[in-house]
Amino acid sequence: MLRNNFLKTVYDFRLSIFFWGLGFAFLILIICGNYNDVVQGADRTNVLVGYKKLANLPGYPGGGAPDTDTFGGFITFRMLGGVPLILGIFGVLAGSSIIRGEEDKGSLDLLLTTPHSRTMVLLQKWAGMVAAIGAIVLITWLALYLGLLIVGQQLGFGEMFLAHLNIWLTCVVFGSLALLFGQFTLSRKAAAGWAGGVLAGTYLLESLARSLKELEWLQYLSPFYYHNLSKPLAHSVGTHWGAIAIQAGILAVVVITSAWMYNHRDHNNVYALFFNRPKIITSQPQTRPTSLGLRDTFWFGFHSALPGTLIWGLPISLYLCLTTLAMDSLRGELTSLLKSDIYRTQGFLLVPTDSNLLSLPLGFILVIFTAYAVVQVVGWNSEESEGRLELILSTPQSRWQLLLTRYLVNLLASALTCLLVGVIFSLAAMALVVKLDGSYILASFFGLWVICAVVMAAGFALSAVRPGRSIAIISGGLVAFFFVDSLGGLLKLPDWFINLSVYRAFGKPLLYGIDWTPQFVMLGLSGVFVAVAVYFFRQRDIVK
Amino acid sequence: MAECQKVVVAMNTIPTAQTPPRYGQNENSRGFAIYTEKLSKSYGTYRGISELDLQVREGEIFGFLGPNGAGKTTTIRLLLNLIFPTSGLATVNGMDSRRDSVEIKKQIGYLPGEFSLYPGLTGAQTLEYFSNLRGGVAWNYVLELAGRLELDLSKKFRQYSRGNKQKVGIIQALMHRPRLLILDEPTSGLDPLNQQEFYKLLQEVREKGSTVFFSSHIMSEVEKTCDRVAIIREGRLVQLGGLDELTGIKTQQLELTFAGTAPLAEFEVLPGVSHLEKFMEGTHEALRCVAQSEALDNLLRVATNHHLINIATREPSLEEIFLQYYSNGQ
Repeated sequence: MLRNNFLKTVYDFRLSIFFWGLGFAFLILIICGNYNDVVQGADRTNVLVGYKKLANLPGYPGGGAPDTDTFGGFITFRMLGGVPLILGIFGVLAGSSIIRGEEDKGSLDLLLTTPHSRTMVLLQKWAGMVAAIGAIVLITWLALYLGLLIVGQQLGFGEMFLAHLNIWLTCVVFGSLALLFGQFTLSRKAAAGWAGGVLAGTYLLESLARSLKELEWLQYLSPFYYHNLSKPLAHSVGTHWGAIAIQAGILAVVVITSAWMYNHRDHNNVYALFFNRPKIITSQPQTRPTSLGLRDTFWFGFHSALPGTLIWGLPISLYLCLTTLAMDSLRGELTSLLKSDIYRTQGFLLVPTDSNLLSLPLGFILVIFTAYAVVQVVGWNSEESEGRLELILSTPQSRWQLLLTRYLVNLLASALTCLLVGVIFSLAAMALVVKLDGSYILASFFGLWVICAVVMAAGFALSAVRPGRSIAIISGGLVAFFFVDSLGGLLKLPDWFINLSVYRAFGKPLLYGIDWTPQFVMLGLSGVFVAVAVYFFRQRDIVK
Repeated sequence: MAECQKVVVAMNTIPTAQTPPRYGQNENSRGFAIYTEKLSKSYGTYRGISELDLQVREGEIFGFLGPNGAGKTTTIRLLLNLIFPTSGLATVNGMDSRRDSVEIKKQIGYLPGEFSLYPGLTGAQTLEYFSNLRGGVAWNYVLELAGRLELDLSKKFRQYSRGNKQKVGIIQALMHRPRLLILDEPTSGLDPLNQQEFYKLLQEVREKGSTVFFSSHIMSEVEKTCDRVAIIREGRLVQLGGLDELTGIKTQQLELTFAGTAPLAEFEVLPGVSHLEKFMEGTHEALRCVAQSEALDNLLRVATNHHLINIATREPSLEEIFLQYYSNGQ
């Protein structure tokens, strides 16, 4: 298994292949099992109309809902349309790890002393990543096949192959983009951050451009646009070979550029572009650095968190502003969408008011904010996993103090992000004369901050107990909460169970104002989680 | 000016080597910078260290020897309260390593065997950050250390070579003039010139009353710098003492040249004599052997019963003693 770089890379991803594959397989089987009840049930017509409306919502993945009365169309709409977005995250993490990640760890130094050219090392590792994504997609395909047997439906082998090829290709494009970004950024974190930004940005771009004629030209910049042109399981759409060829072309350019840059840069350094040229230092400074960010762990953490506030806050603000700007164009579609049962059960009103309609994209923003909270937890976790905590704890800092300081920093940074987005959104709403209650806007962004607080606290608690597994558990938990919230009604899950989801606890603050009970419960839970984190962090060995 | 006052106050509050244990929970630890009593750490079925009794006196340079995986780093991490003992006691400057961890860390400087710092910060920024976490240091001393170790503080941490990263680690451990220095393989990655400079720094630190505890594989540096040495093997202490005391367990290598036939059989039965070998020294027969100190008396008595024309002896180095411990599995 460890005979060459390709097999070693696949071996490195073995656990990810298993868990990601298992997760997708589980979801596919649930959704397949639901097909006969939903699409063949008595309420069939209403359900299918609801799907059409849902698909037109900005931010909803998949780009349309064709042929949802057939099994192929149904599974494409309910499941396969969203897979590239989620599996694309795996691609980004994998693509940033294979070269830049190994440079960070120092393991690539030795690898480059073996008799293989840099191009060969890069291509073998890239192929390993491609195979890992392929393995996850293959598990998804097998689960779909099993689902077909369970519900007694049939799909052609060729169309299933093409549907999964399309998913695989899109995810490999994002993985390869992360590989490319790793050539001119100095850390895996930066490469993953840039590629993740492109993933989220192009997704939002495609989703908005689909709804707004003025922005239509922008959709050609998004890999999701080319992905959505092919829906091999929905026969009325079929396979768009041109789009697949364009994706393959983008992929080839990205991989060739990555290999070229890798061959023309120093190991452990960057390929110099206009923005990352190293500064020439002529003399050793004799003066003492005086930055406030070096004063103590609080200011250091806060200083480090500020770029994240802007990196996350500005694109989210832009998305909200564009949605607000397009409110009049979208009003008809959104109003029609809100008539479906799915939204009525979620607490939306049937009136086309601005606050009612803008509550839809706010739900999407909520998901982004929980991802932001997870990234904060990743930052804390990496202090230990990357070996920095050992030196910090050799200074006169108590463990509980250090943990609480870091949590406080993250609370403050997330508050600033919420404030930034809230202020920009309020200004945009005022400028565009959108009718929103100021106190409800405040309530919405306070609610977002409370969600961040509870997610981060849970992450800190998990990191204190199982530092090696915490990120996987918190991410998996949030994905589960998301599906419970969005599919709970469809799957006829009990209300009390659906209400456990943090996404449900957020409510509809833009519409109804804040519901204090869940906010207090979540703040209380945050306190409990932080206490648990402090207790376990004080009791356990620091991982080396 | 305020900065200078802050530094002076910080320096003055560091306890001196004569300070008695503040908490006095263990009278046996009095006078020891590091004291452990039956200190054990196990990781499930894997044993880290077992019932380690270690005493490091205040003001000495103490070498902690052992092969990879012997438990050196585990011991150091226990002293630092980074990991917790399964049983036993450890005190640092008379204070309990667990209960008084923060107080202890005000008095120590630590260099881990492997460490990582913030890649985006320069050497100067990294040291300033750690200086602030320690309550302030005299920046001139930081510059002096950087100059002596030939470290350019203006580079970002990620741009440093392995040796230069190690220098940043060494400076952050020394810059606040700690009462106790705990160093895990400190010369790893340093070139020979910087190693020599580092040994000088250790001597200066000791002369000012601080204690130095460092782990190493490099026998020559331990022999050159340490007052006392402990040898650890598979988590257990196998030897602790001064370099002079270690000669008590030393063996001697002897070459005995005889005018007539070398009496091999008579030496073979002597207790404490091993590795016997007969060879020709010019035209004379000779014997080569390894003898423990307590066997020398008998050996020489037997040898002088014959016509002995030459004796050559050689003391083994610390390295040979170390290798002997591990090859014999003592």
